[in-house]
Amino acid sequence: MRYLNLGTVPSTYSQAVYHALAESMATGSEPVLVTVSPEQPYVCVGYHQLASREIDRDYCEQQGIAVGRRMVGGGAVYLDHDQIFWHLLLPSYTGTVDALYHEILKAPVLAYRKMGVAASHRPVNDIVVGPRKIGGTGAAQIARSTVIVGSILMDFDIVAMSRVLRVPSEKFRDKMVQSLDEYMTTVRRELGNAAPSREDATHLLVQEFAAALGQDIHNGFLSREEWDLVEVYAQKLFDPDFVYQGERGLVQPGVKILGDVHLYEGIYKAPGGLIRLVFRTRQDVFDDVALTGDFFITPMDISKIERFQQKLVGQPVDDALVARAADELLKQITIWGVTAENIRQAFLNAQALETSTLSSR
Amino acid sequence: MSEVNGCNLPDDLYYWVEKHVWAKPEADGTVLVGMTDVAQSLAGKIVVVSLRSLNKTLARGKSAGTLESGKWVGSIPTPVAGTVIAINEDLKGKPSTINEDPYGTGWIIRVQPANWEADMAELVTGPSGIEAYREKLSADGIQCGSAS
Repeated sequence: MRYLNLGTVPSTYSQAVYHALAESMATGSEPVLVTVSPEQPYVCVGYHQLASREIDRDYCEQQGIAVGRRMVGGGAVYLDHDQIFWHLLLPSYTGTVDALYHEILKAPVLAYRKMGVAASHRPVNDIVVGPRKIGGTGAAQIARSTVIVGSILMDFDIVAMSRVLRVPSEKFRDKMVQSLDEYMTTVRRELGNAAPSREDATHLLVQEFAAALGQDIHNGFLSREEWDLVEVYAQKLFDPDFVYQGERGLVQPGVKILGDVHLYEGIYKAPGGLIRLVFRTRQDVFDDVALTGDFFITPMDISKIERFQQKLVGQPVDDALVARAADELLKQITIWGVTAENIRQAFLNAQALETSTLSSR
Repeated sequence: MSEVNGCNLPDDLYYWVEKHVWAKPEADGTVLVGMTDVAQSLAGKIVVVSLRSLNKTLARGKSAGTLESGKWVGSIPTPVAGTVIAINEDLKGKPSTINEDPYGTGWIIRVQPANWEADMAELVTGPSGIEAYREKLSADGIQCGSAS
Protein backbone atom coordinates (compact mmCIF):
# COMPACT_ATOMS: atom_id res chain seq x y z
CA MET A 1 0.00 0.00 0.00
CA ARG A 2 1.26 3.42 -0.97
CA TYR A 3 1.28 5.86 1.95
CA LEU A 4 1.40 9.61 1.56
CA ASN A 5 2.10 11.54 4.74
CA LEU A 6 1.31 15.07 3.63
CA GLY A 7 1.55 16.65 7.08
CA THR A 8 -0.04 20.10 7.01
CA VAL A 9 -1.16 21.62 3.71
CA PRO A 10 -3.34 24.57 2.60
CA SER A 11 -6.97 23.90 3.53
CA THR A 12 -8.20 23.46 0.00
CA TYR A 13 -5.51 20.85 -0.72
CA SER A 14 -6.48 18.80 2.32
CA GLN A 15 -9.84 18.14 0.67
CA ALA A 16 -8.73 18.12 -2.96
CA VAL A 17 -6.03 15.49 -2.54
CA TYR A 18 -8.18 12.38 -2.41
CA HIS A 19 -10.37 13.55 -5.27
CA ALA A 20 -7.26 14.00 -7.40
CA LEU A 21 -5.80 10.65 -6.39
CA ALA A 22 -9.11 8.89 -7.07
CA GLU A 23 -9.30 10.36 -10.53
CA SER A 24 -5.73 9.47 -11.41
CA MET A 25 -5.85 5.98 -9.92
CA ALA A 26 -5.45 3.31 -12.56
CA THR A 27 -7.32 0.02 -12.53
CA GLY A 28 -5.29 -2.63 -10.76
CA SER A 29 -3.07 -0.19 -8.89
CA GLU A 30 -2.37 -0.63 -5.18
CA PRO A 31 -4.44 1.03 -2.44
CA VAL A 32 -3.37 4.48 -1.32
CA LEU A 33 -3.51 5.89 2.20
CA VAL A 34 -3.16 9.61 2.89
CA THR A 35 -2.86 11.44 6.21
CA VAL A 36 -3.11 15.20 6.18
CA SER A 37 -4.29 18.21 8.18
CA PRO A 38 -5.35 21.67 6.98
CA GLU A 39 -3.34 24.77 7.77
CA GLN A 40 -6.44 26.91 8.35
CA PRO A 41 -9.96 26.06 9.54
CA TYR A 42 -12.58 25.59 6.82
CA VAL A 43 -16.06 24.26 6.31
CA CYS A 44 -17.00 21.40 4.05
CA VAL A 45 -20.51 20.46 2.95
CA GLY A 46 -21.66 17.04 1.73
CA TYR A 47 -21.96 16.38 -1.99
CA HIS A 48 -25.74 16.69 -2.17
CA GLN A 49 -26.31 19.37 0.45
CA LEU A 50 -27.75 22.81 -0.21
CA ALA A 51 -24.83 24.85 1.08
CA SER A 52 -26.85 28.04 1.28
CA ARG A 53 -29.24 26.31 3.64
CA GLU A 54 -26.57 24.78 5.85
CA ILE A 55 -23.85 27.42 6.06
CA ASP A 56 -23.80 30.98 7.38
CA ARG A 57 -22.11 32.22 4.25
CA ASP A 58 -21.85 35.86 5.37
CA TYR A 59 -20.14 34.88 8.60
CA CYS A 60 -17.71 32.56 6.85
CA GLU A 61 -16.84 35.25 4.32
CA GLN A 62 -16.35 37.86 7.04
CA GLN A 63 -14.08 35.53 9.00
CA GLY A 64 -12.18 34.35 5.93
CA ILE A 65 -13.26 30.75 6.51
CA ALA A 66 -13.19 28.88 3.21
CA VAL A 67 -16.21 26.75 2.29
CA GLY A 68 -15.84 23.71 0.06
CA ARG A 69 -18.00 20.89 -1.22
CA ARG A 70 -16.70 17.33 -1.13
CA MET A 71 -17.76 14.54 -3.45
CA VAL A 72 -18.58 12.45 -0.39
CA GLY A 73 -21.95 12.53 1.32
CA GLY A 74 -23.13 13.52 4.76
CA GLY A 75 -23.47 16.87 6.47
CA ALA A 76 -21.59 20.12 6.87
CA VAL A 77 -18.48 19.89 9.02
CA TYR A 78 -16.00 22.32 10.52
CA LEU A 79 -12.45 21.15 9.88
CA ASP A 80 -9.19 22.40 11.33
CA HIS A 81 -5.64 21.49 12.24
CA ASP A 82 -6.72 19.54 15.33
CA GLN A 83 -8.07 16.83 13.04
CA ILE A 84 -5.83 14.31 11.32
CA PHE A 85 -7.69 13.38 8.14
CA TRP A 86 -7.18 9.94 6.66
CA HIS A 87 -8.16 9.04 3.12
CA LEU A 88 -8.07 5.47 1.90
CA LEU A 89 -8.46 4.77 -1.81
CA LEU A 90 -9.25 1.27 -2.99
CA PRO A 91 -9.03 0.53 -6.71
CA SER A 92 -11.44 -2.40 -6.76
CA TYR A 93 -13.94 -2.76 -3.97
CA THR A 94 -17.06 -4.77 -4.78
CA GLY A 95 -18.84 -5.41 -1.47
CA THR A 96 -21.60 -3.61 0.36
CA VAL A 97 -21.19 -0.22 1.97
CA ASP A 98 -21.82 -1.72 5.40
CA ALA A 99 -19.09 -4.32 4.89
CA LEU A 100 -16.66 -1.66 3.69
CA TYR A 101 -17.06 0.32 6.90
CA HIS A 102 -16.90 -2.84 8.96
CA GLU A 103 -13.51 -3.77 7.50
CA ILE A 104 -11.92 -0.37 7.24
CA LEU A 105 -13.01 1.24 10.49
CA LYS A 106 -11.16 -1.43 12.42
CA ALA A 107 -8.02 0.60 11.75
CA PRO A 108 -9.01 3.92 13.33
CA VAL A 109 -10.83 2.11 16.16
CA LEU A 110 -7.72 0.09 17.06
CA ALA A 111 -5.52 3.18 16.70
CA TYR A 112 -7.71 5.02 19.19
CA ARG A 113 -7.55 2.07 21.55
CA LYS A 114 -3.76 1.98 21.37
CA MET A 115 -3.79 5.65 22.35
CA GLY A 116 -5.89 4.67 25.37
CA VAL A 117 -9.28 5.82 24.05
CA ALA A 118 -12.00 3.17 24.44
CA ALA A 119 -13.37 3.59 20.92
CA SER A 120 -15.67 1.21 19.09
CA HIS A 121 -17.38 1.04 15.71
CA ARG A 122 -21.10 1.67 15.76
CA PRO A 123 -22.60 0.65 12.42
CA VAL A 124 -23.01 1.93 9.88
CA ASN A 125 -20.15 4.41 10.08
CA ASP A 126 -19.81 6.04 13.47
CA ILE A 127 -16.80 5.67 15.73
CA VAL A 128 -17.90 6.21 19.30
CA VAL A 129 -16.59 6.28 22.84
CA GLY A 130 -19.58 5.15 24.86
CA PRO A 131 -22.45 7.46 23.88
CA ARG A 132 -20.15 10.02 22.23
CA LYS A 133 -18.99 10.22 18.65
CA ILE A 134 -15.30 10.74 17.92
CA GLY A 135 -14.66 11.93 14.37
CA GLY A 136 -16.68 11.32 11.25
CA THR A 137 -16.34 8.99 8.29
CA GLY A 138 -17.75 8.81 4.78
CA ALA A 139 -17.42 6.86 1.56
CA ALA A 140 -17.90 7.45 -2.14
CA GLN A 141 -17.21 6.09 -5.55
CA ILE A 142 -15.02 8.69 -7.30
CA ALA A 143 -13.97 7.80 -10.84
CA ARG A 144 -12.95 4.14 -10.59
CA SER A 145 -11.91 4.27 -6.93
CA THR A 146 -13.79 3.53 -3.78
CA VAL A 147 -12.81 6.24 -1.35
CA ILE A 148 -13.33 6.09 2.39
CA VAL A 149 -12.39 9.07 4.51
CA GLY A 150 -12.34 9.97 8.17
CA SER A 151 -10.41 11.79 10.84
CA ILE A 152 -8.67 11.28 14.12
CA LEU A 153 -10.18 13.94 16.30
CA MET A 154 -7.39 15.24 18.48
CA ASP A 155 -9.46 18.23 19.61
CA PHE A 156 -12.58 20.02 18.41
CA ASP A 157 -13.82 23.60 18.54
CA ILE A 158 -17.54 23.13 19.17
CA VAL A 159 -18.32 26.83 19.35
CA ALA A 160 -16.59 27.49 16.02
CA MET A 161 -18.60 24.62 14.45
CA SER A 162 -21.88 25.99 15.79
CA ARG A 163 -21.00 29.45 14.48
CA VAL A 164 -20.36 28.54 10.84
CA LEU A 165 -23.66 26.70 10.49
CA ARG A 166 -26.86 28.45 9.59
CA VAL A 167 -29.21 28.02 12.53
CA PRO A 168 -32.73 29.33 13.06
CA SER A 169 -32.08 31.09 16.37
CA GLU A 170 -29.50 31.74 19.08
CA LYS A 171 -31.50 29.45 21.35
CA PHE A 172 -30.99 26.72 18.78
CA ARG A 173 -27.27 27.51 18.58
CA ASP A 174 -26.97 27.22 22.37
CA LYS A 175 -28.68 23.85 22.23
CA MET A 176 -26.37 22.77 19.43
CA VAL A 177 -23.27 23.65 21.46
CA GLN A 178 -24.72 21.81 24.44
CA SER A 179 -25.63 18.80 22.28
CA LEU A 180 -22.23 18.59 20.61
CA ASP A 181 -20.61 18.83 24.01
CA GLU A 182 -22.82 16.03 25.25
CA TYR A 183 -22.51 13.78 22.22
CA MET A 184 -19.00 14.36 20.91
CA THR A 185 -15.60 13.66 22.32
CA THR A 186 -11.97 13.99 21.29
CA VAL A 187 -8.62 12.43 22.11
CA ARG A 188 -7.80 15.45 24.25
CA ARG A 189 -11.05 15.21 26.17
CA GLU A 190 -10.56 11.50 26.82
CA LEU A 191 -6.87 11.57 27.69
CA GLY A 192 -6.03 15.10 28.78
CA ASN A 193 -2.28 15.56 29.06
CA ALA A 194 -1.75 11.88 28.30
CA ALA A 195 -2.90 12.49 24.70
CA PRO A 196 -0.30 11.38 22.16
CA SER A 197 1.39 13.82 19.81
CA ARG A 198 -0.05 14.22 16.31
CA GLU A 199 2.95 12.34 14.95
CA ASP A 200 2.44 9.40 17.31
CA ALA A 201 -1.30 9.29 16.64
CA THR A 202 -0.66 9.32 12.89
CA HIS A 203 1.92 6.57 13.21
CA LEU A 204 -0.48 4.35 15.16
CA LEU A 205 -3.21 4.93 12.60
CA VAL A 206 -1.00 4.03 9.66
CA GLN A 207 0.18 0.85 11.38
CA GLU A 208 -3.41 -0.20 12.00
CA PHE A 209 -4.39 0.43 8.38
CA ALA A 210 -1.51 -1.78 7.26
CA ALA A 211 -2.71 -4.52 9.62
CA ALA A 212 -6.40 -4.16 8.69
CA LEU A 213 -5.62 -4.43 4.99
CA GLY A 214 -2.88 -7.03 5.44
CA GLN A 215 -0.52 -4.87 3.40
CA ASP A 216 2.97 -3.53 3.78
CA ILE A 217 3.25 0.21 3.79
CA HIS A 218 5.72 2.07 1.63
CA ASN A 219 6.10 5.81 1.80
CA GLY A 220 5.49 7.72 -1.37
CA PHE A 221 5.21 11.25 -2.67
CA LEU A 222 2.70 12.96 -4.89
CA SER A 223 3.96 13.10 -8.44
CA ARG A 224 4.06 16.37 -10.37
CA GLU A 225 0.97 15.28 -12.32
CA GLU A 226 -0.89 14.41 -9.12
CA TRP A 227 -0.05 17.81 -7.60
CA ASP A 228 -1.39 19.46 -10.74
CA LEU A 229 -4.64 17.57 -10.36
CA VAL A 230 -4.80 18.49 -6.64
CA GLU A 231 -4.58 22.11 -7.72
CA VAL A 232 -7.42 21.61 -10.20
CA TYR A 233 -9.66 20.06 -7.53
CA ALA A 234 -8.69 22.69 -4.94
CA GLN A 235 -10.04 25.31 -7.33
CA LYS A 236 -13.14 23.33 -8.25
CA LEU A 237 -14.28 22.14 -4.82
CA PHE A 238 -13.96 25.62 -3.31
CA ASP A 239 -15.35 27.55 -6.27
CA PRO A 240 -18.48 29.37 -4.98
CA ASP A 241 -20.30 28.35 -8.15
CA PHE A 242 -19.71 24.72 -7.25
CA VAL A 243 -20.31 25.13 -3.52
CA TYR A 244 -23.47 27.21 -3.76
CA GLN A 245 -24.80 25.78 -6.99
CA GLY A 246 -28.56 25.64 -7.40
CA GLU A 247 -30.62 22.72 -6.48
CA ARG A 248 -29.20 19.67 -4.87
CA GLY A 249 -31.18 17.19 -2.96
CA LEU A 250 -30.20 16.51 0.61
CA VAL A 251 -32.65 18.64 2.55
CA GLN A 252 -33.74 17.26 5.85
CA PRO A 253 -35.42 18.96 8.76
CA GLY A 254 -33.35 19.62 11.85
CA VAL A 255 -29.63 19.17 12.34
CA LYS A 256 -27.99 15.81 12.86
CA ILE A 257 -25.75 15.75 15.90
CA LEU A 258 -24.72 12.15 15.41
CA GLY A 259 -26.22 8.89 14.08
CA ASP A 260 -29.66 8.92 15.66
CA VAL A 261 -29.50 12.23 17.53
CA HIS A 262 -31.15 15.24 15.87
CA LEU A 263 -31.87 18.80 16.93
CA TYR A 264 -34.99 20.64 15.74
CA GLU A 265 -36.67 23.99 16.11
CA GLY A 266 -40.31 24.68 15.39
CA ILE A 267 -41.89 28.12 15.36
CA TYR A 268 -45.55 29.02 15.52
CA LYS A 269 -46.95 32.50 15.57
CA ALA A 270 -49.89 32.28 17.96
CA PRO A 271 -52.21 35.24 18.67
CA GLY A 272 -50.46 35.61 22.05
CA GLY A 273 -46.93 35.64 20.65
CA LEU A 274 -44.26 33.55 19.04
CA ILE A 275 -43.86 29.97 20.29
CA ARG A 276 -40.43 28.41 19.85
CA LEU A 277 -40.06 24.71 20.57
CA VAL A 278 -36.45 23.51 20.42
CA PHE A 279 -36.04 19.79 20.96
CA ARG A 280 -33.49 17.04 20.57
CA THR A 281 -34.46 13.51 19.67
CA ARG A 282 -32.53 10.32 20.16
CA GLN A 283 -33.77 7.13 18.53
CA ASP A 284 -37.10 8.88 17.94
CA VAL A 285 -37.54 9.68 21.62
CA PHE A 286 -37.45 13.21 23.08
CA ASP A 287 -34.01 13.71 24.59
CA ASP A 288 -34.25 17.39 25.48
CA VAL A 289 -37.06 19.93 25.11
CA ALA A 290 -37.16 23.71 25.50
CA LEU A 291 -40.34 25.75 25.14
CA THR A 292 -39.66 29.47 24.82
CA GLY A 293 -41.14 32.45 23.06
CA ASP A 294 -42.37 35.98 23.59
CA PHE A 295 -45.63 35.03 25.29
CA PHE A 296 -46.86 35.89 28.81
CA ILE A 297 -47.80 33.35 31.44
CA THR A 298 -49.88 33.63 34.61
CA PRO A 299 -49.17 32.78 37.27
CA MET A 300 -45.54 33.55 36.53
CA ASP A 301 -44.38 30.04 37.42
CA ILE A 302 -41.56 28.82 35.17
CA SER A 303 -41.46 25.48 36.99
CA LYS A 304 -44.67 24.51 35.17
CA ILE A 305 -42.96 25.04 31.81
CA GLU A 306 -40.01 23.03 33.07
CA ARG A 307 -42.33 20.25 34.11
CA PHE A 308 -43.90 20.26 30.61
CA GLN A 309 -40.40 19.89 29.13
CA GLN A 310 -39.41 17.11 31.50
CA LYS A 311 -42.65 15.26 30.88
CA LEU A 312 -41.82 14.89 27.21
CA VAL A 313 -38.24 13.72 27.73
CA GLY A 314 -38.11 9.96 27.30
CA GLN A 315 -41.43 9.91 25.41
CA PRO A 316 -41.79 8.97 21.72
CA VAL A 317 -41.60 11.87 19.26
CA ASP A 318 -45.32 12.19 18.59
CA ASP A 319 -47.58 15.20 18.13
CA ALA A 320 -50.44 13.71 20.15
CA LEU A 321 -48.16 13.40 23.18
CA VAL A 322 -47.03 17.00 22.73
CA ALA A 323 -50.66 18.13 22.55
CA ARG A 324 -51.53 16.17 25.69
CA ALA A 325 -48.59 17.58 27.65
CA ALA A 326 -49.47 21.08 26.42
CA ASP A 327 -53.05 20.54 27.51
CA GLU A 328 -51.92 19.64 31.01
CA LEU A 329 -49.61 22.64 31.09
CA LEU A 330 -52.44 24.98 30.15
CA LYS A 331 -54.60 23.60 32.93
CA GLN A 332 -51.97 24.77 35.42
CA ILE A 333 -51.04 28.12 33.92
CA THR A 334 -52.50 30.47 31.36
CA ILE A 335 -50.39 31.46 28.39
CA TRP A 336 -52.27 34.42 26.94
CA GLY A 337 -53.35 33.80 23.35
CA VAL A 338 -51.72 30.37 23.14
CA THR A 339 -53.53 27.03 22.92
CA ALA A 340 -52.32 23.44 23.19
CA GLU A 341 -52.99 23.14 19.47
CA ASN A 342 -50.61 26.07 18.83
CA ILE A 343 -47.84 24.27 20.72
CA ARG A 344 -48.57 21.08 18.78
CA GLN A 345 -48.31 23.11 15.57
CA ALA A 346 -44.87 24.44 16.59
CA PHE A 347 -43.78 20.84 17.04
CA LEU A 348 -45.16 19.84 13.62
CA ASN A 349 -43.47 22.82 11.97
CA ALA A 350 -40.09 21.67 13.27
CA GLN A 351 -40.38 18.47 11.30
CA ALA A 352 -41.88 19.93 8.13
CA LEU A 353 -39.42 21.19 5.56
CA GLU A 354 -41.67 23.74 3.93
CA THR A 355 -42.17 25.58 7.20
CA SER A 356 -38.62 25.14 8.39
CA THR A 357 -37.10 28.36 9.61
CA LEU A 358 -33.96 27.51 7.65
CA SER A 359 -34.69 29.13 4.34
CA SER A 360 -32.35 29.51 1.42
CA ARG A 361 -30.24 32.62 1.17
CA MET B 1 -37.78 -12.94 -12.92
CA SER B 2 -34.75 -14.87 -11.67
CA GLU B 3 -33.40 -14.78 -8.15
CA VAL B 4 -29.65 -15.02 -7.72
CA ASN B 5 -28.04 -14.79 -4.26
CA GLY B 6 -31.24 -13.16 -3.04
CA CYS B 7 -31.11 -10.53 -5.81
CA ASN B 8 -34.03 -10.17 -8.22
CA LEU B 9 -33.01 -10.11 -11.90
CA PRO B 10 -35.70 -9.85 -14.57
CA ASP B 11 -34.81 -12.09 -17.53
CA ASP B 12 -35.77 -9.61 -20.23
CA LEU B 13 -33.45 -6.71 -19.26
CA TYR B 14 -30.00 -5.98 -20.66
CA TYR B 15 -27.38 -5.82 -17.93
CA TRP B 16 -23.98 -4.21 -17.52
CA VAL B 17 -23.02 -6.49 -14.67
CA GLU B 18 -19.81 -4.72 -13.61
CA LYS B 19 -21.74 -1.51 -13.10
CA HIS B 20 -25.00 -3.01 -11.79
CA VAL B 21 -27.20 -1.10 -14.22
CA TRP B 22 -29.88 -2.25 -16.64
CA ALA B 23 -31.27 -1.13 -19.99
CA LYS B 24 -34.67 -1.90 -21.45
CA PRO B 25 -35.35 -1.22 -25.13
CA GLU B 26 -38.91 -0.09 -25.73
CA ALA B 27 -41.18 -0.28 -28.75
CA ASP B 28 -40.71 3.40 -29.60
CA GLY B 29 -36.96 2.95 -30.00
CA THR B 30 -36.06 4.59 -26.69
CA VAL B 31 -34.20 2.78 -23.91
CA LEU B 32 -35.08 2.92 -20.24
CA VAL B 33 -32.14 2.85 -17.79
CA GLY B 34 -32.06 1.92 -14.13
CA MET B 35 -30.06 0.39 -11.32
CA THR B 36 -30.30 -3.27 -10.47
CA ASP B 37 -31.56 -4.80 -7.26
CA VAL B 38 -27.89 -5.61 -6.62
CA ALA B 39 -26.90 -1.94 -6.81
CA GLN B 40 -29.63 -0.75 -4.45
CA SER B 41 -28.82 -3.54 -2.05
CA LEU B 42 -25.10 -2.68 -1.99
CA ALA B 43 -25.81 1.01 -1.49
CA GLY B 44 -28.46 0.69 1.22
CA LYS B 45 -31.36 3.10 1.63
CA ILE B 46 -31.04 5.87 -0.93
CA VAL B 47 -31.69 9.37 0.44
CA VAL B 48 -30.85 11.59 -2.54
CA VAL B 49 -30.87 11.18 -6.30
CA SER B 50 -29.57 13.97 -8.51
CA LEU B 51 -30.13 13.28 -12.21
CA ARG B 52 -28.54 14.77 -15.32
CA SER B 53 -30.46 17.35 -17.26
CA LEU B 54 -32.88 16.60 -20.02
CA ASN B 55 -31.50 16.65 -23.55
CA LYS B 56 -27.99 15.98 -22.31
CA THR B 57 -25.98 13.71 -24.58
CA LEU B 58 -24.18 10.99 -22.70
CA ALA B 59 -21.49 8.59 -23.85
CA ARG B 60 -21.81 5.01 -22.65
CA GLY B 61 -20.42 4.76 -19.09
CA LYS B 62 -20.89 8.45 -18.37
CA SER B 63 -22.84 9.44 -15.30
CA ALA B 64 -26.62 9.58 -15.64
CA GLY B 65 -26.72 11.08 -12.17
CA THR B 66 -25.45 10.71 -8.64
CA LEU B 67 -27.04 9.18 -5.60
CA GLU B 68 -26.45 9.21 -1.90
CA SER B 69 -27.40 6.47 0.46
CA GLY B 70 -27.09 6.92 4.21
CA LYS B 71 -23.34 6.51 4.10
CA TRP B 72 -22.20 6.51 0.51
CA VAL B 73 -22.13 8.64 -2.66
CA GLY B 74 -21.77 7.25 -6.15
CA SER B 75 -22.64 7.88 -9.76
CA ILE B 76 -24.95 5.92 -12.04
CA PRO B 77 -23.18 5.08 -15.30
CA THR B 78 -25.44 4.77 -18.30
CA PRO B 79 -25.18 1.46 -20.18
CA VAL B 80 -26.38 3.13 -23.35
CA ALA B 81 -25.10 6.19 -25.18
CA GLY B 82 -27.54 8.80 -26.41
CA THR B 83 -29.67 11.76 -25.47
CA VAL B 84 -31.55 11.93 -22.19
CA ILE B 85 -35.17 12.44 -23.22
CA ALA B 86 -36.78 11.87 -19.82
CA ILE B 87 -35.68 11.71 -16.21
CA ASN B 88 -37.62 10.16 -13.38
CA GLU B 89 -38.77 13.29 -11.56
CA ASP B 90 -40.55 11.22 -8.91
CA LEU B 91 -37.19 10.10 -7.50
CA LYS B 92 -36.47 13.60 -6.26
CA GLY B 93 -39.31 13.46 -3.77
CA LYS B 94 -38.88 9.80 -2.94
CA PRO B 95 -35.39 8.50 -3.77
CA SER B 96 -35.97 5.26 -1.89
CA THR B 97 -38.26 4.20 -4.75
CA ILE B 98 -35.05 2.81 -6.25
CA ASN B 99 -34.75 0.51 -3.24
CA GLU B 100 -38.36 -0.55 -3.39
CA ASP B 101 -38.91 -0.97 -7.12
CA PRO B 102 -35.60 -0.78 -9.04
CA TYR B 103 -37.05 -2.20 -12.26
CA GLY B 104 -40.36 -0.35 -12.26
CA THR B 105 -41.16 3.02 -10.71
CA GLY B 106 -37.50 3.37 -9.68
CA TRP B 107 -36.26 3.78 -13.29
CA ILE B 108 -33.60 6.50 -13.71
CA ILE B 109 -33.56 8.00 -17.21
CA ARG B 110 -34.97 7.38 -20.68
CA VAL B 111 -32.47 7.63 -23.51
CA GLN B 112 -32.83 8.12 -27.27
CA PRO B 113 -29.94 5.83 -28.11
CA ALA B 114 -27.18 6.89 -30.48
CA ASN B 115 -26.43 3.32 -31.47
CA TRP B 116 -28.41 0.76 -29.51
CA GLU B 117 -27.19 -2.15 -31.65
CA ALA B 118 -23.59 -1.39 -30.68
CA ASP B 119 -24.36 -0.85 -26.99
CA MET B 120 -26.59 -3.91 -26.82
CA ALA B 121 -23.68 -6.06 -27.96
CA GLU B 122 -21.77 -4.97 -24.84
CA LEU B 123 -24.59 -5.99 -22.49
CA VAL B 124 -25.93 -9.39 -21.42
CA THR B 125 -29.51 -10.60 -21.32
CA GLY B 126 -31.74 -13.67 -21.08
CA PRO B 127 -30.57 -16.92 -19.47
CA SER B 128 -26.94 -16.32 -20.44
CA GLY B 129 -27.17 -12.81 -19.02
CA ILE B 130 -28.52 -14.08 -15.71
CA GLU B 131 -25.74 -16.66 -15.66
CA ALA B 132 -23.11 -13.96 -16.26
CA TYR B 133 -24.60 -11.96 -13.41
CA ARG B 134 -24.59 -15.07 -11.20
CA GLU B 135 -20.86 -15.51 -11.86
CA LYS B 136 -20.20 -11.87 -10.98
CA LEU B 137 -22.18 -12.09 -7.73
CA SER B 138 -20.46 -15.31 -6.72
CA ALA B 139 -17.00 -13.96 -7.59
CA ASP B 140 -17.61 -10.85 -5.48
CA GLY B 141 -19.46 -12.69 -2.72
CA ILE B 142 -22.49 -10.43 -3.08
CA GLN B 143 -25.76 -11.33 -1.40
CA CYS B 144 -28.80 -9.10 -1.59
CA GLY B 145 -30.78 -8.25 1.52
CA SER B 146 -33.50 -5.77 2.18
CA ALA B 147 -32.30 -2.19 2.24
CA SER B 148 -32.20 -0.79 5.73
